[in-house]
Amino acid sequence: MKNDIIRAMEELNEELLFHTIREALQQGKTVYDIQNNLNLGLELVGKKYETGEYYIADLIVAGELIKQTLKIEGMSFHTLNDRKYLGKVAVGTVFEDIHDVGKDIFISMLNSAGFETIDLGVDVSAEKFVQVIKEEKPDIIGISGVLSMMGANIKRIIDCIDESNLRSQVKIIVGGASVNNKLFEYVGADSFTMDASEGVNICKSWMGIQ
Amino acid sequence: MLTIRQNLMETIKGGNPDRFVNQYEFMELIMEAPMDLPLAPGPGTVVKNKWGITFSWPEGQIGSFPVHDDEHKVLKDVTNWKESVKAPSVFYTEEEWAPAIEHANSVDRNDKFVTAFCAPGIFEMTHHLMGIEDALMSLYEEPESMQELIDYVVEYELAYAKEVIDHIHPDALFHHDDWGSQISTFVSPAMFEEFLLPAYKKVYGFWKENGVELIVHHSDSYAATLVPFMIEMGVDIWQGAMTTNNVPELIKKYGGKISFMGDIDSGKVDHPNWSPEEIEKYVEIACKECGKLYFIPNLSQGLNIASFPGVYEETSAAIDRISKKMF
Repeated sequence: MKNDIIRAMEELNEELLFHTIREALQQGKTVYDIQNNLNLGLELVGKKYETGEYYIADLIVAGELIKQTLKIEGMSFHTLNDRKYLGKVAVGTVFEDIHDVGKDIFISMLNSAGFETIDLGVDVSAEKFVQVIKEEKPDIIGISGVLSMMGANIKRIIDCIDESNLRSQVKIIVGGASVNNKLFEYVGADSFTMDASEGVNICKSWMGIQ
Repeated sequence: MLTIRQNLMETIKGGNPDRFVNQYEFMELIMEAPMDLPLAPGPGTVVKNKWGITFSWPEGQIGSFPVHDDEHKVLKDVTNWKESVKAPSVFYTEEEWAPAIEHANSVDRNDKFVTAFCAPGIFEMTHHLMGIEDALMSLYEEPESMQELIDYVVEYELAYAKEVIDHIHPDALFHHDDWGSQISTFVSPAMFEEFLLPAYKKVYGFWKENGVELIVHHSDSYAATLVPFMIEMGVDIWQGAMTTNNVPELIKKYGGKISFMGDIDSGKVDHPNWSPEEIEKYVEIACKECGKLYFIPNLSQGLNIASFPGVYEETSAAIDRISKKMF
C-alpha cells in the first residue's frame, strides 16, 4: 500500500492516488503515515524535476494534488490537528516589485513539501516583514525579487529586520531572476537561489531535514 | 564593410560576417505602433487594459505587471472563458497609426529591419488572464478549454498582425513569450508541442507569408529542449538564450536552422555595482565560446535596454572591442 501511494504521487496519477489513500484509510492507516508516503512521493517528484524529467507545471500539479488529498474524507483538516509541519515560511515579493510568478511557484512547492506558508503578496514593505516575524514567528523568511534594481530594497528589508532585533529569529532566503552571488552578499541573507526547487531543499536543510 | 543588415544575414546564414552583430542593432523597433501592451502608463499608476487585465506600476519600478488577486483575476474558471474573456478590437485610426508609419518610412531598409513588436505572447496571455498556477494546472485539467482559449488568442494575434503588416510592412517581428524559468521550461516538450507549437506555426506562418523575413522570438529562460519546435514554427533567432541552455552546444547542433541571441545573462552583469571589466569578461566568454556564426552576443533582457544606466551601452562597446580582436 505504501508503495502505491508513493508511486501514484510520483507519477502524478490523481485517480490512483485518491484510490490508494482511501484504501489506506479504510485499512486503518493513520493520516500521519499517509502524509509521510505523500512526502516520499513528493521527493521523487522533486528528483524528476532536478533531472529534467518533470517541468515547472508538474511541480504545480504535485502541489495541487497535495491540496486535494486533504479534502478526502478522513484526511480532512480536523484529523490533522497533530499535523507536524516541517516549519513555517513567510514569503513575499520585495517592495516596488510586483512579480508573482516565482513567488507563487515557491509557495506552492513549500506547501507540497510540508511547510506551513504565509503568502505576504507582492510589493511587500520592510515593516510588513517585521510585523509578520513578530506576530507569526516564522522559521524562515523568503524574499523574492525579479528586477536587478531591487537589491537595495531587499537589503533594506533585511536591515530593518536586523534593526528590530529579529534577525536571529529567522533564516532568510532570497530568490528570483535578479539574485546572484554578489547581490546575495550585498543584502546579507542566509542563502539565495534562482530555482524554487533548490530553495525548498535549502529550507528543508535549515529545518534539519536532508 | 557590410551593412548592419548584410552582416546579420551573413551571421545567420553561415556566411562571412565581418564583425559580431551587436545586440539589437539590426532591429529598428516600431514601438509607436498602436498596441495593447501589458503596461500601465507610468509609475504609481494602476490600469485595466482592454482585455480587463489589471496592471500595476509601483513607484520606482521599471515596468508594470498583471495583478492576480481574487479581486482582479480576469479568468477564475477556464471552462467559462467565453463569458469572461473578450478580446479587444485590433482596429486603430489612421491618426493613431501615423507615428508608426512615419518611423517605418524613415528607416533605411537596406541597413536595418523595420521590426514589429508583439507582447505579451500566447502563453503569457493565458497567465496574464488567470495567473501562472491556474494556467499551468488548466493545461492538465481542462485541456479542451485551454485549447479553445489559446485558439482565441491566436485569432486575436492574427487579426492584429494583419493590421501591422498593412500599415508598416515590417521586415521582422520581435515577439515575446517566456517559456520557462532559468533552468526549466514551464511545460514538457510534449505539452508544448500539443498546445503552443500549432498556435505559433499559425502566427509566425502568417507573418512570414506576408513579407516578414525574420522572426525573432524572446524567451529569457531555459528552453533548449524547445529549440526543435522553434525551428518548426519558423523562428529565425531566439533572443534571450541564457547561459543555462549551453548555447555553444545548441549552435553546434542547430546552427544553420536557427540562430541564438544572448549568452550574456543580464542577472550577471546588470546590477547596482556593475563594472566595465565584469561586462568585458562575460562578453569575451560568450563570444569566444559561441563563435562567429549563428550567434548574436546580447544581454538576455527582452528589449534594447538595461536596468542600470550604462550597462547596455557598455555591453555594446565591449562587443565592438571583441569584434576587432576576433574578426
